[in-house]
Amino acid sequence: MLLIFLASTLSAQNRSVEREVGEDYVKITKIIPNWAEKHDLRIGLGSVSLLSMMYLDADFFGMVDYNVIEQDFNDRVAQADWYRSPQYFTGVISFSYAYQLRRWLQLGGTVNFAAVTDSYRHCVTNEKMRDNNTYLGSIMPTVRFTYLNREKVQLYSAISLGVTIVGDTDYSELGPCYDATLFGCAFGKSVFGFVEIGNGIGGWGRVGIGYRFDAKKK
Amino acid sequence: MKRYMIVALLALMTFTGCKLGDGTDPNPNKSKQIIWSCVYDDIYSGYHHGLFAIYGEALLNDNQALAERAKQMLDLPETISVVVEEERIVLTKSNGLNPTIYTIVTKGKKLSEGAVWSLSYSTANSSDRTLATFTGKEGSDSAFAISRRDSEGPINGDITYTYTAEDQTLAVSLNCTGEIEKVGAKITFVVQPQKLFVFTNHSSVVGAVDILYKDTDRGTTKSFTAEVVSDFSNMHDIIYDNAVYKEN
Repeated sequence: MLLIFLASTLSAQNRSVEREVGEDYVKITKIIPNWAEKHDLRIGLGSVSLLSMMYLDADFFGMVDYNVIEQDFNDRVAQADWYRSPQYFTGVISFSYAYQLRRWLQLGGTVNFAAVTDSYRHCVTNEKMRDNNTYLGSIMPTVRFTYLNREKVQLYSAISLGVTIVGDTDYSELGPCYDATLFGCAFGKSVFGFVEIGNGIGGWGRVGIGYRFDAKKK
Repeated sequence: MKRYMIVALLALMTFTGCKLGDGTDPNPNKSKQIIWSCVYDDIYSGYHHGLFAIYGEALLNDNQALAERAKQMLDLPETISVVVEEERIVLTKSNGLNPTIYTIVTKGKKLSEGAVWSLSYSTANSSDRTLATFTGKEGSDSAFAISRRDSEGPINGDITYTYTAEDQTLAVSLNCTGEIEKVGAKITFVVQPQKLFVFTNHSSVVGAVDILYKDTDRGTTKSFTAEVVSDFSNMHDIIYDNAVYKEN
């Protein structure tokens, strides 16, 4: 609803320029938009963050995993022959789309995916006994505020609120999530790179590449 | 330029994934430690209950030094009430409103006379529960048989003990076999006759036990010997660190 409201109320801002050509003063009145409505597509990778770890790895905070079921004695003995392999975080893979409604405002959405991977292996044979991967996916509407908008450089901040689903092969759960880009810098024209410092599901640091193109044909 | 930019970004991306934990070290003895801790608890309870018989026999023989040593090894408080009756010995530990009562039924006969004793336990909230029975050996004042069964299985064996008055050393030697039923598993164990479990002054233990573990759900077995030579300065040392495991 917020997106529809903003889209319907905001409009493009144009300006006219005058130029002096040679000795004759020629007034050229040309409507040049100082910004153009654009589509903005991005793919990025984010680092670990407290929020993503809270969802992905209860051990990270020393919290009790209440999903662990009391084991029978023979299961305890059988699993005592296993060891846990090192645990890796994949990084937060993100895809985002935004539509530039105003020079300073973009609205869109972000989809994130992340995983923590490890496995249980047999102490003697080193055979993999069981995967122990946890996955996270989130979808969030995004509002991006561009406070410096040059042809090749944009500085911006953004906020996203949405839901995340976390699970492994046995269970899944839904929860709220957020992401805030505290400081972002995009550099390049149609194809561009970006670096961001943020907080939330996307990680504290993110990098990526994007592609932006005009929404309307000239 | 774009090419360099993309390469640089791809390089940066590789740093966003990270190692969160080192996992756990492979410990091929961990499953044996779990099994051994159960077996050890069973052997220890046999020894502990056997101490009651040694204590009772010392009281009937009016051997105060041995009785005092056994009492110390039982960790019985000084305030415990001990009443020696004609057919039984009653030990009452007062814990406020809920006293614990150990009763040794002697039927007026010493173990050295071939008596069969029983040790039972009760509290204000629970009825009598027989912990163990002891069968004396006629003519022997330092050996008897022990038999006990709890909800997980029986343990049967012989206990011999020696008390040295000079240094107040009480060594209790246990030779036994037992079974433990667990959910999905059965453990049978035999104390090696050449390496009996000897608890000395409640501060050291040596011994070896052959253990056969069967996972009845998976149909797998483990057969190994656990051997300990340790002191009781840290109880868990015996169970986890100081045992040596040998595959059978």
